[in-house]
Amino acid sequence: MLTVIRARAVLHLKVVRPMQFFTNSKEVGYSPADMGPVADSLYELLCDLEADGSKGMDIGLDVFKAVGDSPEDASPEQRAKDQTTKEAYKSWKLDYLKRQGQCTDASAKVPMWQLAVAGMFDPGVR
Amino acid sequence: MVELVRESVVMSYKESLAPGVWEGMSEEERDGAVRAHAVVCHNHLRSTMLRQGIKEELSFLKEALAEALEELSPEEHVTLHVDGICRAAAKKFFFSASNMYAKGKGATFLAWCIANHSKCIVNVLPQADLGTRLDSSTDVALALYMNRKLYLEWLEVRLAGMGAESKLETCL
Repeated sequence: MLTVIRARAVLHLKVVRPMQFFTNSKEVGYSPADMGPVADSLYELLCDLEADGSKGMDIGLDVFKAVGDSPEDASPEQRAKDQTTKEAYKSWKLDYLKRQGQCTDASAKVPMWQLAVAGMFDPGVR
Repeated sequence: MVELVRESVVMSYKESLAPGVWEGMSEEERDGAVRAHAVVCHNHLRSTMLRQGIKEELSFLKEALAEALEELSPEEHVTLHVDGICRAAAKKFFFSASNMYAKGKGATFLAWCIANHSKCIVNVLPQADLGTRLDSSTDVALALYMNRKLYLEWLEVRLAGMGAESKLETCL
């Protein structure tokens, strides 16, 4: 039971949270019609996991790293938009991992989600 | 709009094939080749992605734990539906200054943490889940995993004090 809860937690950090960013970021400004690259990356991950589930246990896994890559024949406008997407995603990831939470007596602050990621991939970390 | 996109997908695929190939394909092969998933709300893409996984998860758990489950009393309300566990946990442990669930014990749990584990980190659930909130099936799982030792210790203390008075706590 703990295994499936952990798997869901990994999915939340590695898939759901980044997808929330792509759907809700005003800077990126994606509509449902722009979600193709996100869906493609997700589909690729699911195919990889079907073949080898251990790929999901890579702490450095970035499922959506290809989102914002411009195709060779992209127009200058499209390239600029893709560049904005890439930079916004990179910036969001850094901000997310730096976000701090307090311990219960408020005596210290810790990077909450960095700790969550570490705990997810190495259960000895607490 | 959705139908126009679907038609474009089919047209584009047909154009990519050599003459006569599409006509030679069975209905099943055609469906597989141009299958499209239409969404009008991109936020629901995440729920769609998780839905099939949740079905697989349940069949995995049934295979692994069904026998063990039979040994437990029905009064213990133990379930293999992880979504049910997530919902129960969200009701029991969510904490919000402005909106509280009547049977929730989020504030009591946090007070207990402050008194007994003053240097710990708690992933506070800021919203209850009545089964409709987007992403709650993974969001709550993250809190369950991060807080598991604290939740279990607190539940043990609670159940030792009150027996099976609370079905929600017994289930958890």
